[in-house]
Amino acid sequence: MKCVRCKGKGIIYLKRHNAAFCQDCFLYYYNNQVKKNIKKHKMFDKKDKVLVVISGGKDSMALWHILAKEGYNVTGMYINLGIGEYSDKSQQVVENFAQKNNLEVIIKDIKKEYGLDIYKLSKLLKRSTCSICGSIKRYLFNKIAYDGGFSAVATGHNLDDEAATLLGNVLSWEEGYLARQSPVLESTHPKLVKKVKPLYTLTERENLFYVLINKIEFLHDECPHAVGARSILYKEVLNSLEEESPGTKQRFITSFLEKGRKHFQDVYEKVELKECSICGQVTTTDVCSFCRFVRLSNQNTEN
Amino acid sequence: MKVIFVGKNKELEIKGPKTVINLAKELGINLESNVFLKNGEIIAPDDVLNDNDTIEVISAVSGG
Repeated sequence: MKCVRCKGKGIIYLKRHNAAFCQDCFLYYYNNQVKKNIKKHKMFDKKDKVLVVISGGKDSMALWHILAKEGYNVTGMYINLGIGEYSDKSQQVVENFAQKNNLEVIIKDIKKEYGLDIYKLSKLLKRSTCSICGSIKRYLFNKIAYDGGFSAVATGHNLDDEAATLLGNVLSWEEGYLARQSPVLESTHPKLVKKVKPLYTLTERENLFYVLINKIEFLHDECPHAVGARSILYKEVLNSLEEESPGTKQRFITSFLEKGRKHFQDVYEKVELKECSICGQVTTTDVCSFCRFVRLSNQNTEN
Repeated sequence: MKVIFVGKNKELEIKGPKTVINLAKELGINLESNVFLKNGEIIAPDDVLNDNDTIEVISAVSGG
């Protein structure tokens, strides 16, 4: 197997491109994909301050590394959600990387700073821990980005994430979500910061190769709450299709973005956005879910 | 060869020689969602693995 670019020994075979790469040429390919995505969707440029959301996993670590290496003005942001050893280990990975590469990072600990406990909230509100975590993360990413004057929030969502989300949304015809699924979510309110996904055309496997080649430390462990998640099932199904029919995942996403998404714009009802009466952040209710979590946690501690 | 499933607390002893593709087939592992390392290095799907090699299988799938 020969590298398609330099004709040396190819070790990474990308079936959907029918191409093998040596390590150096793979990095060239990876770099080009990221640069192309950023440019094509006008995600940000080198003058912009970009907040990169980091979990300590391979995708976000790859994103942080490549954006910093390419000279973008990036700051990492990690949220310790209090998921036992998993959170402590991932925070350590993030701090080590920032220190080693002299990069700025913002660390937020929801228990220490806001008194939030996802397990107590999950029990009190009868909601899954993943849904509580999602609300907390979305709130904090936007608040930190807005308060810090960042132009964009970048996440490590990859081709597999996007294809799995699309499959889930199509299976239940979630028109509103289909209307909004995009590599760029433009700001719809002066206090909402644009969200971007520079890795949306790269697979999880390609991100894994990127961190392995660059010897970037990352957390192998899966969040204990993700075990059995539907998104993992969708990814497995899509990977089985991909093995038989290479290019399926990328076609699914790119053709949706080019041809499918526009058909959902009419059915997408614009929700009325307000500012939370407590913190001033954007919400659809009088008090945002984050402030309700804090209030509930405080009441529960007092009782 | 020793096959270690990284992060899964699982190890197997498999008889070589065989290619990465054949090992993946034998283990029922999808090469689209897993990466194989031989003695710590990334290897090509057609590389041959021998009895004295240590193979790490890293899953690329995460919950996200």
